Amino acid sequence: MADAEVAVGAALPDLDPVIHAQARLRVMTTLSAVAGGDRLAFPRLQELLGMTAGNLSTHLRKLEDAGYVAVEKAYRGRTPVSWVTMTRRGRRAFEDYLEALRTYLG
Amino acid sequence: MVTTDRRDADDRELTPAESLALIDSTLRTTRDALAFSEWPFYAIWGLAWGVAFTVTHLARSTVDAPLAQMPDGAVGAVWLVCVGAAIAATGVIVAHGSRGLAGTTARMGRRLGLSWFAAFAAAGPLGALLDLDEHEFGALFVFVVALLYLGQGAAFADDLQLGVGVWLLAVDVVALAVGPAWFNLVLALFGAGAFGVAAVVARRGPQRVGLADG
Repeated sequence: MADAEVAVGAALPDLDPVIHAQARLRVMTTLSAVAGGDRLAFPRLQELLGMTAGNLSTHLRKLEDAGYVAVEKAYRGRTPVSWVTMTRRGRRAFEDYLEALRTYLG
Repeated sequence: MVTTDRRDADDRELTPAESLALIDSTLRTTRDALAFSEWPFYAIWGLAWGVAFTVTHLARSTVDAPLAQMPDGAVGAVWLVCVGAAIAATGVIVAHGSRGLAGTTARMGRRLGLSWFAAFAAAGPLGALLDLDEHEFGALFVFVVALLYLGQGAAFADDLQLGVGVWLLAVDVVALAVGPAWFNLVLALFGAGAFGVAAVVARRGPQRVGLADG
């Protein structure tokens, strides 16, 4: 309890800047809800988030550069499909981010 | 520019409270969109069993004479339509719910489908080889369904499926024990009824398939 009061009164926590932006936080949260071992097709992720393809691609690239998501390109028949997963590193980073938020907010 | 405004909003830093609220709402939305509700499956199969076993009872299973006169093949046609429609509805729900999702859950779903198909494909010839009569044949199929539910309940730690399996085993034994005249009625009431109860219970419970815990 005392820790929580100190935390709220303290400066903002040092949050991961890659995750701490509205769009990328939504992407990470959505992917965190998918069971480990499962992956989402890009159009389904886009549909779930209500983002444009270009905008989602931009944010995915930033998350991919940080090693938080993996984008695997494959073919279903002749149709190209991009499958998106959260990496183990991404899952850990998201959990750390969530923990930091909860600690700060008490 | 709308696009620029949207991009600015997307990139905006959030306060910790806003972040937590966004995580909660996004998780809720995602779970609602991706989770498989089990209750439609119970409801669909409960309806199929209810109609098919009731029609069979009316056509064949009374003590003195059938309660309803039906042309030859009508009962078989009713079964074909009920089971066919239930399989089709199940397939549509699974395909819709799992679209754009691949990996472990999808592989598990395919294996489950294969298990059900293999079990029923084997039950037919098995019943014929054992020279089972119509009611014994029916009991064999209910037995197979019960075992599959027991297996799924054990594999997924799902008490509802486990309960349905145990209940169907009990109903199956009772239906055979009360004799051919009431066999189909017992299954219509207590077999289909069990699916109906399971649908209500599942509707109120958590929806988990394909999602990470928590």
